[in-house]
Amino acid sequence: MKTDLASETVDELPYSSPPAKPAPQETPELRNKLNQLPSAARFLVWPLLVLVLIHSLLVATWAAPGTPVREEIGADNLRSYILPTFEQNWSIFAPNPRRVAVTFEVRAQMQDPSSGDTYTTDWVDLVEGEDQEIRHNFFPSRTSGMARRTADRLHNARANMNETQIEWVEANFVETPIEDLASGLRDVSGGAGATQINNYMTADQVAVNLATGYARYAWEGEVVHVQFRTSTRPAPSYQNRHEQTVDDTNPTVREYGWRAPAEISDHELEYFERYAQQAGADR
Amino acid sequence: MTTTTLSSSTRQYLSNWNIRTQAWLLLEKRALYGLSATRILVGIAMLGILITNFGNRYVLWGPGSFWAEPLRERSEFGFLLSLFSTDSPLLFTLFYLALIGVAVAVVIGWRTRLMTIALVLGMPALVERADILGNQGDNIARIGLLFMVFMTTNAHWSVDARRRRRRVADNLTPAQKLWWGHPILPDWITTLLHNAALVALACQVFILYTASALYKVQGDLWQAGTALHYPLSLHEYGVFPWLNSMLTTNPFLLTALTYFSVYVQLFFAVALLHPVSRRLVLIGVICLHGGIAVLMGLPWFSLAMLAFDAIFVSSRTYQALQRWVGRRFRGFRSKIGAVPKTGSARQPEALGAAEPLDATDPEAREKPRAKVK
Repeated sequence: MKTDLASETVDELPYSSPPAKPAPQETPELRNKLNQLPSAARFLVWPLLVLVLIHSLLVATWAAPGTPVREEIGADNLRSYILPTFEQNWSIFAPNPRRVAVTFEVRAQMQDPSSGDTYTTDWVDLVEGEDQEIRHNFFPSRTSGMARRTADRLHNARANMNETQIEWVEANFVETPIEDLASGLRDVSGGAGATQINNYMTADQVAVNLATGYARYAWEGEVVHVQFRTSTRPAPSYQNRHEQTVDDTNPTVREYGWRAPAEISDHELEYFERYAQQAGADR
Repeated sequence: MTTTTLSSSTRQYLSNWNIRTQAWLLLEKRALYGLSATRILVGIAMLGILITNFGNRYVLWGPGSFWAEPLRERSEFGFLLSLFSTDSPLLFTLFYLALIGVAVAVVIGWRTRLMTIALVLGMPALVERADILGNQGDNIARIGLLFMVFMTTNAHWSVDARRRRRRVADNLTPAQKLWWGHPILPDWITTLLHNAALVALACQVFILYTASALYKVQGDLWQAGTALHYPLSLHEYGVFPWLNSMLTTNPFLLTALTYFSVYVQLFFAVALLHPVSRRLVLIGVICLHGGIAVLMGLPWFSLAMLAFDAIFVSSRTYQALQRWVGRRFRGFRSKIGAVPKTGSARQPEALGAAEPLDATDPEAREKPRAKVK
């Protein structure tokens, strides 16, 4: 047994691994084994392998940076093959890694149901609670991304908007239906296109939902309107690492108008509690 | 040398390759140890997501996830999302616990294929209800689990394998075969599907690392060797901020780690071709994902990625690992008195002799025990 163990250890050495090219006399033996299989088996090998390779080529074309192959296949064709099962995106931390911190602040106009008095609350940053969820926690919950990623989506969707479109975004939609914001944005010539406007509208609704959920949970009275604003601040450059931290750099603030609150049932709100508490609400 | 002899030797060469390719795909299932490791690791990763988010399950995906409704309306996953769509917290929790059960079943290899199908449907049905919170770990797990449905991932370290060893396949009806975990389809079909899916999975892993690296090499911060400083200085990836700054304020360490991250991904596929570089790149990729897991607070993403890298570790390494664990476990068991200590029990010779005969033969583990007469 001892010698067996020893010889196995020798086999483990990298240089003693099997030769790259099998000896030629191996093939007749393999041929014999293959001949014992039904002919359908051998007939199917190559078609199946070709299918696998075509699939892999399509996935590679989807995942890699844009190439003439992708243009030739057509973005829509590729999309319809990949989504949703093989959806993937590997440009993570690339071309350059993430280097901004974001905030997602909410406030609300609240009304005292008995007196009818209204007041506007202070801004509360929901990302701060999310950062706390991550700190000193090897297994952070996914609640650490709710407001952060919503801010990211808003920023991406706003990135190509022109000044007129930004004015639309910063306008209030409290009586006017929010659909008018979408059509308003679409009617502006230039700036963000249809896809980005759709993305913006989705992100705006998510933001309103988060703001309303938090306001309903955290503040006294009825929610009249809600508002959110976001900011980005850059991580200090490597050269400035000793002078500044990410909390000292100048934020770029992005404004949005007042919005009508989202309709949330008491039942739904009850289960929002965990997030509101993470964000610092105490009730 | 004439052209005819040249072409006939070329033909001979191509024919040999054709035979070898067919033999590789048809004669035996490949990477059975690696895929068993994959099954366990991806199962743990899914279990990890489910357990660490259990307390927040309602607000993330359940009755309190109204905030994500606009995202769901645009989701590509459509009908699958309705699986967890219920107003009742009790019902939601029951489904959630069932999915935890499925993940556990995949880890221990109980009714593996059925449970893999349940997991590959259940995980996206849950996490895609708030796709904004997802990461690429969700995607690779879904894709990999889908390929795993066509593969044998319960050959080792599984309840199924134990059950299969207890009863030989002879003289069983198809229903009995199914129950005892024996194949009903002809071997060549399952072997061919297994190996084809394995090739597809391997290609998928090559694609993701190569694409990831191709995007990174375009970035000036990766080239400047400072890229890692930026995300690691954010609260978003600040599990232990002091640890992050310790790593990124040292110029040598920062540059080395930044370049290491790019090179491991860039050379992953190519490095697998040579046994030495294969070992190096696999150790590299374990370090890379270990770092991401600990420093950036993304343990389940990292584990899902590593799960599929596990197919590139050789069966021989897994066998050595199995023997090592077996010895440690036996030592531990005798220490706590679960195994009666005998004079020779601690001798390596005796341990070797006590090991099952099939431990050194990968084929033997596949076969059921000899029929008891």
